[in-house]
Amino acid sequence: MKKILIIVLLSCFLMIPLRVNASDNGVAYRTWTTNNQGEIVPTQDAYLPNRIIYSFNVANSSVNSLAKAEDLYYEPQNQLFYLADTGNKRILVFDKSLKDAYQIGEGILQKPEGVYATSDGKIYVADYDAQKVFIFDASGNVVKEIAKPDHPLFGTQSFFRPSKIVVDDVGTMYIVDAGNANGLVQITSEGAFLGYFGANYITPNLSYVIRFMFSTKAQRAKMVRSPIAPTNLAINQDGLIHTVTRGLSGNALKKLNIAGNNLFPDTMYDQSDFNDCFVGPIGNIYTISESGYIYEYDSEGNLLFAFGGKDPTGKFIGLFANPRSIAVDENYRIYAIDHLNTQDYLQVFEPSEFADLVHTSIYYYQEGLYSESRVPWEQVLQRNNMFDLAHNGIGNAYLRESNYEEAMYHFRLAGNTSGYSDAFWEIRNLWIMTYGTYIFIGILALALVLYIGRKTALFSHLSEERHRMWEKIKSVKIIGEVLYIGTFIKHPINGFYEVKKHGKMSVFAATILYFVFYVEMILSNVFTGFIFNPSDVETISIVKILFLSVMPIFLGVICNYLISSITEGCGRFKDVYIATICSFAPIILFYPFVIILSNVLTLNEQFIYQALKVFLWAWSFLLVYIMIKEIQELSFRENHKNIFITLITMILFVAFGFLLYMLGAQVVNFVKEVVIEVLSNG
Amino acid sequence: MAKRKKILLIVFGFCFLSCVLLLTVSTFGQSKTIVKKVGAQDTLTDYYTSSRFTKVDDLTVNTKKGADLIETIDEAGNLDQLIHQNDRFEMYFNERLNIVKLKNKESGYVWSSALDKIDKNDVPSPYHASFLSSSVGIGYFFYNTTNESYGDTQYCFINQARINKDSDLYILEPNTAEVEVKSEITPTGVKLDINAKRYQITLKVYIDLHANGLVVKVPDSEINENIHLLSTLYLLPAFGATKGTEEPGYMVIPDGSGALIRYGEVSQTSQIALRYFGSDLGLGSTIRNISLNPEKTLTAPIYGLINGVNQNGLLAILEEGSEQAELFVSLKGTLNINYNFLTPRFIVRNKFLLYGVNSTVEKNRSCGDIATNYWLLEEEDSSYVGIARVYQNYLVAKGGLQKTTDGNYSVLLEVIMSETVPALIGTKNITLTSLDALKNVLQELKELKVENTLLVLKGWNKKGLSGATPYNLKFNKKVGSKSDFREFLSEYPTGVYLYNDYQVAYDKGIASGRTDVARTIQRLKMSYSDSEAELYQNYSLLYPLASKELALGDIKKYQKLNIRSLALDSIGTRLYSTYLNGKSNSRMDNAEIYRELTAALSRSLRLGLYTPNSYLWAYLSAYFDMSLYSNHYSLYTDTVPLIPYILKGYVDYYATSVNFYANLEDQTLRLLDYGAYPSFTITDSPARDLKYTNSNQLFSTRYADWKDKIAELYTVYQPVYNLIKDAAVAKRSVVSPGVVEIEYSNQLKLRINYTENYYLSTPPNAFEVLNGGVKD
Repeated sequence: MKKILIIVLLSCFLMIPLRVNASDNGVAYRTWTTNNQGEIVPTQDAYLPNRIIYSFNVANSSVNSLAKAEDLYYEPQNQLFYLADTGNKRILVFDKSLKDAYQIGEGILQKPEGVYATSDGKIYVADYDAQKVFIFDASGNVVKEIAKPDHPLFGTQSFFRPSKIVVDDVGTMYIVDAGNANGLVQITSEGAFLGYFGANYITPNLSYVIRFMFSTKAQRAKMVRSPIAPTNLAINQDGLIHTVTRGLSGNALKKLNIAGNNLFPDTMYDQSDFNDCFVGPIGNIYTISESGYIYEYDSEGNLLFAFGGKDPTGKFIGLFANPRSIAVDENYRIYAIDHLNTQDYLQVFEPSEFADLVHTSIYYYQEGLYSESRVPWEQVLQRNNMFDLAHNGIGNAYLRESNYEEAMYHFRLAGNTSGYSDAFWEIRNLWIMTYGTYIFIGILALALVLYIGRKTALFSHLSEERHRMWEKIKSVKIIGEVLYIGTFIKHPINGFYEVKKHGKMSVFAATILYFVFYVEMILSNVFTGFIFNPSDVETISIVKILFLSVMPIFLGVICNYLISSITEGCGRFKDVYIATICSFAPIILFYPFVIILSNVLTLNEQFIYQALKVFLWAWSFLLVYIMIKEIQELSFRENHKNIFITLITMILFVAFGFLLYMLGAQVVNFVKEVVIEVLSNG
Repeated sequence: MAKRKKILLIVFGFCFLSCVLLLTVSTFGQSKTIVKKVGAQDTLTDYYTSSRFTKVDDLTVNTKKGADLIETIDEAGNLDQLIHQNDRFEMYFNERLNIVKLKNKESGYVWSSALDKIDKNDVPSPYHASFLSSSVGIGYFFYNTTNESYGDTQYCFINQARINKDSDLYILEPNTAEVEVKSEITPTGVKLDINAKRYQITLKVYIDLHANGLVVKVPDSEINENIHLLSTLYLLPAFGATKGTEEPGYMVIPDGSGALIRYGEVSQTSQIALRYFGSDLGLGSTIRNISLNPEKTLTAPIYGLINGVNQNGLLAILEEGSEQAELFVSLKGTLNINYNFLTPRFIVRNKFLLYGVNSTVEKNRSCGDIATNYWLLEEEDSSYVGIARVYQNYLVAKGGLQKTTDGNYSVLLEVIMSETVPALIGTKNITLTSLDALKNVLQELKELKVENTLLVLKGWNKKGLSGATPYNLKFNKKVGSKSDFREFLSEYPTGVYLYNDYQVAYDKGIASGRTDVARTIQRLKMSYSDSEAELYQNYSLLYPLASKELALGDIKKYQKLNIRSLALDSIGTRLYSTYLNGKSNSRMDNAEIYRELTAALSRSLRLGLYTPNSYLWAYLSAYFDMSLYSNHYSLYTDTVPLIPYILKGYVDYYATSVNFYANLEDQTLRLLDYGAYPSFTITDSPARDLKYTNSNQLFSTRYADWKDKIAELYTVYQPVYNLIKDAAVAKRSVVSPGVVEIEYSNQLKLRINYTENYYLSTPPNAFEVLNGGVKD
């Protein structure tokens, strides 16, 4: 579950909060990163706002300030900036000193919204109103104009509205055609339409599916949804296209392979209002959102840093009123364009030492130089113990160096189950190789001894002794009843009969078994091996486990009894109560072994663990099915009906409880307001 | 033979081809990634001119000399009459417009309480001209008899401006329709008897001349109101105002560590209002955006105007009424007002939402007496360093600051000893630094030549650091036994501070939820929820009187436990007005209670406070969490060490923790620049252990990770601080962007080079002692 950055609650909030030992670096915003659970945690400030540029010294124009600038591009080879000064209908070109600039496209451009430049100095401009892409040379002369592709595949749309553009190494243009849900328009350097690329998908949700099922053909025709068109795009050094789309969540930022498929997972931490993206020197991606936040991801989609905020009045440096575009130079400096009232400006952010360390580590890591990345990663960790990505890097470094113990430790902290599994496999392997023979011999010896013992009755008096002890224990009534659960493994139907007719288990014993079941559920959360259960002990809530394990069973028992007493069943409540927990005998008896097993298996053998779990639960549910049939004395048909209605009743119970809770909250609120009214007017 | 040759040929051919292949691959297969190594930077030359640093001063001579004197009576009837003088100043009074002018005899600079000549192109409307031409501006709540409620604040000024058809200048005349002013020359100055007759509000303003400038007083007892109520007061709003870039200089604002606003710089905003000592939570709270840092506050009731660096300047000290004052800043910029001025605005009466719902105006005034002291500066005093020095002397003379430093450099270690984490059932206490571990740390530091450390122990108590303030005074046995603690404390009698908080109360603390939790003036309980907190989210703020009782009740317990020094959080930073049983306590009343609390504690204990407001500086033995920056407002042009220099030589101040600095090199140099001692937050265990505690935003605290840095910051800076000792700062100048030279009162000269290149003999990112310094 994502944690939202800005939280609005009903209760009062302090404007001056408790003193937090926050990074006092003299900036207005806090900087965040994600931990291994995908939650947002604070970190050192990675970027510090440095300057604000309001105007340039434009060589061939008297207009020095910007108006509604929409796009900024930085070309690393020539170290030049290209800014689409949309309101002034021109492109400004300037260098990193951010002082002098010259304009191109005056008189030609109508509404330049997107700009890109290649290393040979050619400038590509996407002009929304002119409905063309203009290609200029470095001096500002128009070399080519690309208008709407005259290709049947382009579609029957009447408009071609180029809004943003990037160009790859061979000159192929990728254009965001505003509002065109088919994706990016791909055009060769000659002007030929290649097709659409990188469209977004629609994800069907349950309500849509249900409505679709119950609609007529005519209604269905109207229900056709089109995906959202991409908002902006960027290209990295390898020629891979990145798109950002406003309105999507989880995959607002995409990195597309050559086939147009998203390489990033659908569970990225992002926002649904990204306005622009840019790829940095090591493939790291920067995005800027409408709400004023700048995000930096590594090339695999892990969120490195998020910072910023919205400030519509322009009171703070470092915050944004209406950010439009972002660019990054080879020194990781961030440049962003903001609209504030009628004044546009360019904000420059400088990376901090901490950001430099992280970038260095990532660089080595991405190049596969894991051992070299270890030292900078350790420096990152030193400054921020919670930077979980560093643990991943260090874990990989140790894995390469065959230091499996350390690798396991770091992978565990990074939440990387597959890395942990690899390291664990190696350790387990070593262990088996060292001790395997001894254990094998030991087992053989033991088996031999037992065999001889049985054959020669050597231990007969010992086994007699044991037998007598066992009988004595079983003779204690309560223990005997609890241990009766063993029969449900081999003879369940018999067992149910005995419970119902002969009271072979008391209510108290059954309650003990419920408790045992609950404890086992807790233990499974605590002791299941890391590979299959990567969460921390502190996040376990025993109340939550109660509600997810024992409460549903209780609810089922109650509902089943109620339903059965109205319909054909004839089981007493006591019987249903006791027999239900007995049908979970497989879980109660064998689950501990599964828990122990989970600690020695690796991901390669996860099939065994999953299969065992599924088997035990399936077995239990089968027993439940049998139990209902036996206790309520129903036929097969009646049994199905009974179970179905029980399930419905359980859902109704939960819904009713929820409703009660909501209404109760409303009543409390109402009373509170009445009291306030009375007091304030009195 | 032929076969062998064939084979040889094939082998050769193969080798040749593979070589060619390898060569081609290696040339074109190289990745062109560019990596920035740590430390390397192609610095933009403008990096050090950002507002996070101080810019080079503009030392141009101010030829304007302030306002003009009207020496002969003009056609409107204005005349500046000389009414008083002393060694330094001549005081003039314009009886018609009630404007006081002060002329510096030596420099000839004239300071005027209002503008007596305003061009209509310089202000957007006659309303603004009226405001700037009146020495007193009265804000009132008008009582509407039809709906029996008070409107929002409206203003009336003692003078008004009318458009003159024949010239660009406004016609300025007394606002006789609304206000009647009777002036009387007193032996020390002038008294204005103001009767806002239309609103039946009367008040008396006394403007007196003293050796260093003017004092303006408005006694509360001489304010009379009827049905319309006094809301805010502007006193001398245009004092020191400059027009556009006519005069060089800057404004000095005690925001965070101190900020400057230089005249003539472009910015996105041109007006801002800042409340002294932070906003008043007693009037209500607002939603906090957790993605932003908490804003810093104005901790000293002063502001400065320098109209000519090292020439003419003004330090305004709000002697009384500062708790209800807001600093209103306006610059030439986006609002078509061509003037730069800075003035306090006194909130005489609060308007708030009763129960958060009904708009109400307070029955009684909450401001008390108002007194502002305009201390005029010249020559060397006319800079932010001068302001710091003058204010320091002022405080010392009044007993507001006492010398508690011994001039010895020390490093502060805030040690977190225990915290609370969720367990399977309930919560449990985990030890992060046991007393033994702490002793080892100190031993190791001694071996690393770190001689002097100051300790603040956090989480020393039974219930852990978070969720239990004000603490039940019992040592945590898991951390150390009672006798161990007593022994440890007796070994370091004054250097170990124990942390406590008497203002923010949690459920597990000793405060009573029923009687001690404060109510705001809105009658709402001050109970809040911090959504970002991991474990303990609900907390409350206590009545200052309750805090005082709890604190005084603990004094004997501290003595029994051998505790000699206390580090108190929150009390110094947060000031709010409260309500109890029909009676409201204003912020001034509550400030007085906090003063009594700290005074009583300081009689038997050494007190360390976190970022305290100036009304508590008299009792400080140590100042914790000194900020090295101001708020990052787009209006500010520089950050300067104003507050640090006010305290330098009197109280030791420790900066915010080095652990969380983004640029270690840059910011540790800043420590020396600002004269602050470094502070570290440390634990024996890794900070990961804090992940599920309320302290989970402390992301790096392990001692082993920081011990080298601690040793470095001690051994490298100790020799310099040994030369500085307890001297105050005499001069600080930025000789080049990123290069600062500081001169101390004992003639020690220091150069600090923040840049990446050599500056004369000083290496990059380093400091240099330019002369050995001569001790007085």
